[in-house]
Amino acid sequence: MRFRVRGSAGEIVRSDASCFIGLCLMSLLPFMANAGETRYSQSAETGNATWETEMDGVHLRMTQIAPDQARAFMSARGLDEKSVEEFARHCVFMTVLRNETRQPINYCLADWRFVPEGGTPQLMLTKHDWLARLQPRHLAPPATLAFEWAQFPVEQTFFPGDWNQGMTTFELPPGSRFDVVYRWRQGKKRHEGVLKNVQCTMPTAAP
Amino acid sequence: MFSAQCRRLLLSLLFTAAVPVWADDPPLQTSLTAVKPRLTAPGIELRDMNDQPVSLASLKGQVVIVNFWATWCPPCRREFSSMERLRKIMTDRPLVVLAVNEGESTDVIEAFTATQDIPPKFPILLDQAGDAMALWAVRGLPTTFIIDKRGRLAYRAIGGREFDHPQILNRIERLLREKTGTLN
Repeated sequence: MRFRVRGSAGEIVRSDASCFIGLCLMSLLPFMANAGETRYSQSAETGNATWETEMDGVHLRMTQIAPDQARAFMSARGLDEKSVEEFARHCVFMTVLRNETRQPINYCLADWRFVPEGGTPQLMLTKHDWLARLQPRHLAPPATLAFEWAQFPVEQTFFPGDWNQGMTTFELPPGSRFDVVYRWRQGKKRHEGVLKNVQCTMPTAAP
Repeated sequence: MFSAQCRRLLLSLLFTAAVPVWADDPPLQTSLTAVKPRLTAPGIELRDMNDQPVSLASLKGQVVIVNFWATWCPPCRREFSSMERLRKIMTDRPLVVLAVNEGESTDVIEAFTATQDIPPKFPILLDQAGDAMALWAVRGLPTTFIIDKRGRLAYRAIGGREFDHPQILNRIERLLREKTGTLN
């Protein structure tokens, strides 16, 4: 870049060039601040905590669902009491995955792992696991349908802008902390991101 | 180093970038994925809230929005009113919205639609056993398909959308302008 031009025209050229550079640097800020970083927030209304991260344009967000909220949701869908209690005993999250890239991505929950604090990588429970557990109970079809489709999809192909929201469950005691390693493919390339230090809701105090 | 005007611009951008958006609901999107090549859409033979049969095949010659949803699905609830706004914008045009509900009773659906600022006037179809959803290979809710006048899949969208956004209206407008061609 040339900054040797004198006079007012030169000033304009220099100012525009530096502003352009500044704008370019500014445009990188969200990526520099967020790429791979886990962000935490807490709802003042519900007290539920949310963790969110972004890696290579794919966003993962997980929000705690308290046992009472899980119970209320599943009861309202017509699930029997035993199934409701079994579900609510687990560590449940409302999970959102979004493709903000310009190319399609494909994910499969079988490729994802959660890593409890000081533990080894494990598979999360999927809707297939839950349906296998619920099948012997012969639940009403509408209840099973709602339960099944409220769970986070086991696999998906997301084109640009596509996203899903659903429940994910982990066999962990209340208050447990863990990381979630989420993986996807874009073309032939594998990607992964990590949502760090997620925590199950704390145990409810006895009445 | 920077002019006053440039400084103001940079500061406003810095402020915008610092506003946390993490805890908000994910934004409703405005993108649609073009289906190429356009394949013939699977059929729909379901009953509406008034127990009247509705067939997708009978709607050839019109652009049809097929939206799979449920009242317990948060993004479905958020995008619902935008489908009615779309329908209103396209009044008198050959466009039909079909909202295919998954497994809920008419009472539950009516309780939800009663909460809408603009009550929906498009048909809500009852997919009681999820058969239509399986036929259309839906893997998550909401999922929406846009069918061209010849009964072919033209666009697909997974996740909540703002259906009356200009970007989506523009795509639909283009479909409406397409020649019907030979109807099968």
